[in-house]
Amino acid sequence: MRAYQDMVYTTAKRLTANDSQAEDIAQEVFLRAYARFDQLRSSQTAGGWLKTVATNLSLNHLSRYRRRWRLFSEMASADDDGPGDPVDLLAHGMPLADEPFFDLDAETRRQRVEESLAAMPEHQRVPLVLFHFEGLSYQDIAAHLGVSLAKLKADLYRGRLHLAHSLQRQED
Amino acid sequence: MASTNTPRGAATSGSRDAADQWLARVLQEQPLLTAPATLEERVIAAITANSTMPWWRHSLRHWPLAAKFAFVAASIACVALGFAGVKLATGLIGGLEGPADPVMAVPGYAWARALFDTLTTLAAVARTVAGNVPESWLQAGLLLIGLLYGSFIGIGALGYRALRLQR
Repeated sequence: MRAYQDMVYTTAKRLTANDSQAEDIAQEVFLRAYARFDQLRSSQTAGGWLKTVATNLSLNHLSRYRRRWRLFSEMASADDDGPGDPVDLLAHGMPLADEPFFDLDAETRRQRVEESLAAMPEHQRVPLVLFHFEGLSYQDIAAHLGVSLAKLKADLYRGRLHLAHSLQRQED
Repeated sequence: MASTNTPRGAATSGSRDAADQWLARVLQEQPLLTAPATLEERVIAAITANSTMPWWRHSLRHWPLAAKFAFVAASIACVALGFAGVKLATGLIGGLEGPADPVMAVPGYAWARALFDTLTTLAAVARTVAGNVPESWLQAGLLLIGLLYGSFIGIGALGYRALRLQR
């Protein structure tokens, strides 16, 4: 368990953006793993299995939560989508490889990225995490989330802008 | 698509690629988070609690075979009893209309007669009230319900935005 607990917790935390929910999900993942310990003990793919279960449980959790709050979240203002016009953003200058962000020490960078991710709206954060951290394809993510490929790409695009903008803003 | 054929479009597309690469690099270098120290304790405690739980508190899949069979048999018996109950109740209600129904003469079914009388009286009262209340009152009542419902949604949205979105 010790070998995988950080991976499982990280997956759940980045998807839910909530410490206690991530811990609950990680606990459930390991309880399920314990129930099939005989199969997993000798499996080469135990890590992948744990990661998949953590991802699925997190997405299930989010979809339950989303249904519960859909009505209210749809009443939230449009600025929840993050930064506005992408062209405006580019006009303000996107952070690039030679930006001072990489001059920061690794721990500060890590902290800033995690905070920015956690502050993103769910519909942008989840596809971004699934694509960049879980390595899922666009098709798999769209199938997981039950959205069209076009919507997924739009959310990913806006999510990247949002994150980049948020990191850049922290520079100011 | 047209914009990518213009100098500005090309610049935008190039900036977007650069930004994507920058972001991919940032995310790629992110290390794993550290799981809370309490996670391992929680998992061990849950496993221990599970193992000390009596068999009947586990899911049906983990019950002993004999208990599974007994449970299925009991479920079938419950369904059969339910059907029998519905049949009996149907007979009783039918019997209420005929004063000479021998079933109603059995003292054990007096509660059914009392229940039926109460429901009939309540329905008659509701019919009388609905027939005599002015239409404007009904409209005002509907308006009030609408306002209360709107207030509920508003308070909910306010609470959601204040508590959840501010995390």
